[in-house]
Amino acid sequence: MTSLHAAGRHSTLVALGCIALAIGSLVYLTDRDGLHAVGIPAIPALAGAHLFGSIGLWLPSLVHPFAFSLFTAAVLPLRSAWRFGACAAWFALNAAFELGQHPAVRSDLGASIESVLGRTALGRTLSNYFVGGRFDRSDIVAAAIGALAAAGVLLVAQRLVERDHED
Amino acid sequence: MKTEYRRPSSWRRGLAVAGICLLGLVTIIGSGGGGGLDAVCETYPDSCAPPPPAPPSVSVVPPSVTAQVGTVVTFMAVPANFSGAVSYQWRRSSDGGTSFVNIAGATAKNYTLASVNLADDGAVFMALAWQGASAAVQATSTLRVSATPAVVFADGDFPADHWQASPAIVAGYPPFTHVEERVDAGGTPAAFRKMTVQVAPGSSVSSVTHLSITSVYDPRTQGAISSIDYAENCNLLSSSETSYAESAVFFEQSGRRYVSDASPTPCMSATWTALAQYGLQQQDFRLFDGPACAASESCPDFSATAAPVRFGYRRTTFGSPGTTVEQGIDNWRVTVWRR
Repeated sequence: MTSLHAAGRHSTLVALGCIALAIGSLVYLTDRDGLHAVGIPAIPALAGAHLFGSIGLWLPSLVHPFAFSLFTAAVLPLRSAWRFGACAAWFALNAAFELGQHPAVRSDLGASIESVLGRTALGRTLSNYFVGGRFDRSDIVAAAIGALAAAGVLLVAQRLVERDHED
Repeated sequence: MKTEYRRPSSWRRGLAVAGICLLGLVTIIGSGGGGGLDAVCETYPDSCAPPPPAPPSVSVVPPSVTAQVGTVVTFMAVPANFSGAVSYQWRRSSDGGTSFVNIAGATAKNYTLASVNLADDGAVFMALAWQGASAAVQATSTLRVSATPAVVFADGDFPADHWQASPAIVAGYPPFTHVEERVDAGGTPAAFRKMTVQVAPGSSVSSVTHLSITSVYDPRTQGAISSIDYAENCNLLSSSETSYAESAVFFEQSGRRYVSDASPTPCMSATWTALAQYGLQQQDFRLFDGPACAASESCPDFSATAAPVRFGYRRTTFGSPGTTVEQGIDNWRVTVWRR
């Protein structure tokens, strides 16, 4: 019988993910001048503060797979290997989106997207993401670090669960 | 007492994972990709960098000309996009433009033939233009010479009872309003013909044909038609960014009406603009309306046995559906060159 602690650990994972996302959102508010991510309003008091410096360039790429790996793991069984698979999947997804911004592929990719989705809002947004984005290897490295960090958190959580069972 | 933790069912778990995946995708795409204007400029350089300057070019005015034996013909080279002094050289071809030879001493912007003769008929004149050591650009003009004087139909006064206007209603579109009137002043100079045309509702274009009651040419008494020159002055009285007009040569013969392609210069401004078309021949006109032509017929017919031709013009107005465009025409002129 699984104790309430398991539910608490699920909540902990979600909370950790939310904190990470909040930090990532702060990067857009303070360091990404003129760039407004969807859903993040521009706050004049914070814009241009540059709290994160050069770290702000790749921090969102680390935060995203970290947070969503934890969110996904939170809804999966505690001891499931799928939780670690989620970390790998979120890294792969982030890396794929980053690679799609590479100059060698982004134009063709954008055109293909628009040919499939048409000039709809989704088609244009998705196409613009790749065509207007900037490929950066450090973002892929950051995504890997984020996924590994999430896997580390999950490993710690699993060890705690196993210790609870031993107790 | 411990509270039992109930595991979520598989479908709820799947639903949650799907929702998280969707949210994750939205946050990736919504982040904007981390790029910015620089990335867009790399992919679409024309969107950011100023466009390169247009290359130098030259044109010849008139682009084609017909003149009577013994008259003066002047060709003018019109350079564009040169940054400094331009050098010229005129050349002439007697084989329809296949080969050219320099005309000795013809190095000015204009080249004048003091008195054309039948030996000049069909000659092609080329203007070369260059600057410093740059490559030369070129343009040509064809000269046709007629032994007989042209017959000219002209109207700069536009009495109302001299003109008939007919709207060209396109099947499937509603009729549109059009009003024509003679205005005493404001032309180039003096009187002009004012046309107030409604752009057909549901469409972006309206066309009105105008025939001159008095401008009739009879090939059987006046001779076969070799070519036709056309000129007018147009004015888009109610100038707007979305409206403009085009003129074309229009005539009626044997119950059929024919029209040429529009003048290359559209009527786009609220100032008098000269429009012209030169050297229009039989094959440059297409049937506008009327009975279809039989295989044995020549449509139109410019021969010496052809039926009389009544000349006019066709004015096509472009603009927002339902809007009214005021425009003017002055110094309407049709020159009929005979064989």
